[in-house]
Parts: sequence; C-alpha cells; structure tokens
Amino acid sequence: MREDRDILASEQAALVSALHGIGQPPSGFDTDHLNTAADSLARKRARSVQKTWPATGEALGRNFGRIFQSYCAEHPAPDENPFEDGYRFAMWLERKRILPQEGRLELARQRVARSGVPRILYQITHRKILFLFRTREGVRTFHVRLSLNPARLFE
Amino acid sequence: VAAAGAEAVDAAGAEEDDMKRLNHPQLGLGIGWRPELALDIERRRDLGFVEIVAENIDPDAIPASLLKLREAGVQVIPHGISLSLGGAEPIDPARARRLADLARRLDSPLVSEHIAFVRAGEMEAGHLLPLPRTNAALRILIDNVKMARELLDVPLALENISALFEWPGGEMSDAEFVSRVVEETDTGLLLDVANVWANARNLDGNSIVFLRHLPLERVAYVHVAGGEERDGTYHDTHAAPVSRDILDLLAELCQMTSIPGVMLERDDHFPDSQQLNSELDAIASAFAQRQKRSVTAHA
Repeated sequence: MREDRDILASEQAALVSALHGIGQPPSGFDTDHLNTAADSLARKRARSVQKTWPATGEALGRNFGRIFQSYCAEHPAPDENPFEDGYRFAMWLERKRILPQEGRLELARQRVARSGVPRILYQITHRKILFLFRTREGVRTFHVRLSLNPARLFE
Repeated sequence: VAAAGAEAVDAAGAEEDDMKRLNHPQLGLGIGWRPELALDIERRRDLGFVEIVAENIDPDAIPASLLKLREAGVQVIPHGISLSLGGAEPIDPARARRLADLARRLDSPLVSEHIAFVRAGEMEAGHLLPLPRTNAALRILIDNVKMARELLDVPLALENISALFEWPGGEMSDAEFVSRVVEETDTGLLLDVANVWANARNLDGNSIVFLRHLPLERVAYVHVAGGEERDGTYHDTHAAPVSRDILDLLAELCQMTSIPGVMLERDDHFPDSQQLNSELDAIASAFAQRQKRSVTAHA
C-alpha cells in the first residue's frame, strides 16, 4: 500500500502540475482532453475570484481575464479557498500598482479584518479619508470627505 | 397469467430494494443551499432537505436562515469538497472532523463527499479530478474512505463526478469502480445524474448502461444540475438551467429504482424566484411519477 501510495502520489502530482501549465503532461493521456480540462480549471479559478472579490473584479472590467492570467502565470496553483486566492491576487495587483480604487477598499477591509489592529485609517483619495473599524460583527467603514484637498494645505 | 407473474416479481424486487434501503432516510425534494438562494429556499414549502457545502459553512457560525430551515423540519446534509478521498495521501482528519461537527450541530442524517482527488501534495487542483481506474487506486480510495468513516458519527454517501479526461491504463469500467468503492466500504451512493450524462456525452459512454451497472439500492440521494456546451464539450457548471436531457435521465432513473431524495445544484448566475421554482417543480414531477408508480405496485 505504501508503495502504491508513492506511485499514485507522483502520478497525481505530475497530472496536477500539467493541468496548471507546469511541465509536460504525463504520457498516455489524451492531450486534447487535458487541454480542455486545464482550460476549465482556469475558468473556474478566475470566476471564483471574480465572485469572491466582486469590487476588484468589476473595477478591472474587460481587463480582468487578461490580468488574472498574468497573475496565474506567477502563481500557477490556486489556493484551496477562492477568497484567499483573491486576497493574493489583490496584493499582487497592489504590488504591480494596478489595483483599482474599488479594489483598494476591498483589500483594506480584508487587512483590517485580519490584522490585530482594531481600526485603521485609510486615505483612499486626496479628498476622502476612510475609517475602517473591526467589530465583532465584521468590518465597518465610514468616510470623511474633505472640502479642501489636503495636499493644498501645504501649498 | 405470465404478465401478472412478472408484476409480482417486480413488486417483490421493489420491496427487496426497500429492505436494503432501510438505512437511507427519505429526503424528498431538495436543493443546494447558497446564501444567494436563501430567501427562495425559505419560502418553498415542499423541501425535505438542503445540502450545504461544508467548506463554506463555519460550524460555529451557522447562518440563521439554515437554522430556521432546520427548525421547520428540513434536513441539512453537509457535503464536503476538499477531503480528496482518492488522493495518494491519507485524508486530513481535521477536514473529516469538520464534516462530523456540522452533522452533529445540524442533526444531519448523513454527510457526503466525492470519488475524486483535489490536490497532490501541497498543490491544489482547484476542482474535483478523476482517479485512475486501477485496483491499486481503488485500494487507496477504500482505505481513505474507511479512515473518514471512523471519524464520522453518521453514514457517508459518495458521489460520482464528471470528468473531462480519463487516466490511461484503466482496469475496470467507471461503473465498476464506483460500485466497488461503495460496496466494499458499505457507503451510500450520491448519484449525480448530470455527471452521468456529462461523462457519457464527453467520454463516449452510455448513461443508461452506466446506471444499470450501479448498485442502485445504495442511492442515498440524487444530484441534478445544469451546464453548458463549449467547443464541443459539455461543462457541468451548475450555472444554467437543467436541460431536458438531464431531466429525462432523472425520470429514467426514477423508473429503474425508488430514490430517497433528489436535489438541484445551482452555484452561479442565479435564477430569479420564478425560474428557480419552475426548475424545482420539473424535478419534483419526475420524482413524483415514480412515487405514484411504486404506490400502485405495492397496492
């Protein structure tokens, strides 16, 4: 059994890698079928992230598919939890400086929800300051709109 | 006289089926509970059960809507998607315990999982993948299922998946593989007719032949779902209405055996109340026909 498990482990690893575009498909499989399956996995992954990070997904609009694909090229395997995959995607977008405004808020909420800090202040635009509070019921937000661009205070 | 004799045999066969099925509770009509559908589900009065995705429900924070259903007598079945019973590695006890925990808190009659693997080592596949149909893979699967059962206080039902490819070197048919795992582990069968239809369509099989080779007396409940055709392949997306073909296959199954319950799975592009209800009505009617037939047979 131990030996059978070892053999199956390497076969399953080779198959999963191939489906994520890493390495050659193991021999004996119908490659057209594997390509269809790989495409289906990629679609499911993209859709799951789009659904669990709706603001980020919507803000990226028509570019979502293309941008998500380049993220996947750097992170070939999904996270078990689509929401975590989306969290990683949002941070990746932030590092690339292409996280849209709506996505920044979605990411900020998550950071507050996860951090040990009960509340953070988050400047989302020059004229709007956002407060995020972590409460027992979840993260609550409110914003203060400034009548004056804070940058101009120092002019 | 010959016709009457055949009928008697039929009735005896049905009774025998019922005897073997005594362990399976009657569930009736059901649906996969999703937050997006919660309101429509609460309003529907003829549901006997709902199925929840175990990974999406925290046992310590069960949604109020689910608890309300439970109080109204609707059964709740936790359905796992991450146990990876067909994986090369032994199962993660924490995942099985979560299923057990949900079942305990919701007083569930059973839990279910898949005949599939979802990860290899640390690498997640992102979906349910098929297993090699070899004796070696079957033994590992059986071993993992037994391990899971030891951690559960309620019966387990195993689901046949839809696959877009097959492993080379299969030593038995899909139906034999499924039959052997449920028989050798003495588990129920969660029969997904949409998956049966999809596999027949994509991998040149025959749905009816597949069904005929299954131990149908083990069916604990049935899944029905819609999908979409893309570039010549049918995808079981759970994001579209159930097709006529799949409803017909359900009706066919209900003629072959008396199933304890049947439910709709819908995961995306959620329909409005009217569409959802008419889909549930169509499923209920295929199911009710058989109920009527079996009452006549017994009378």
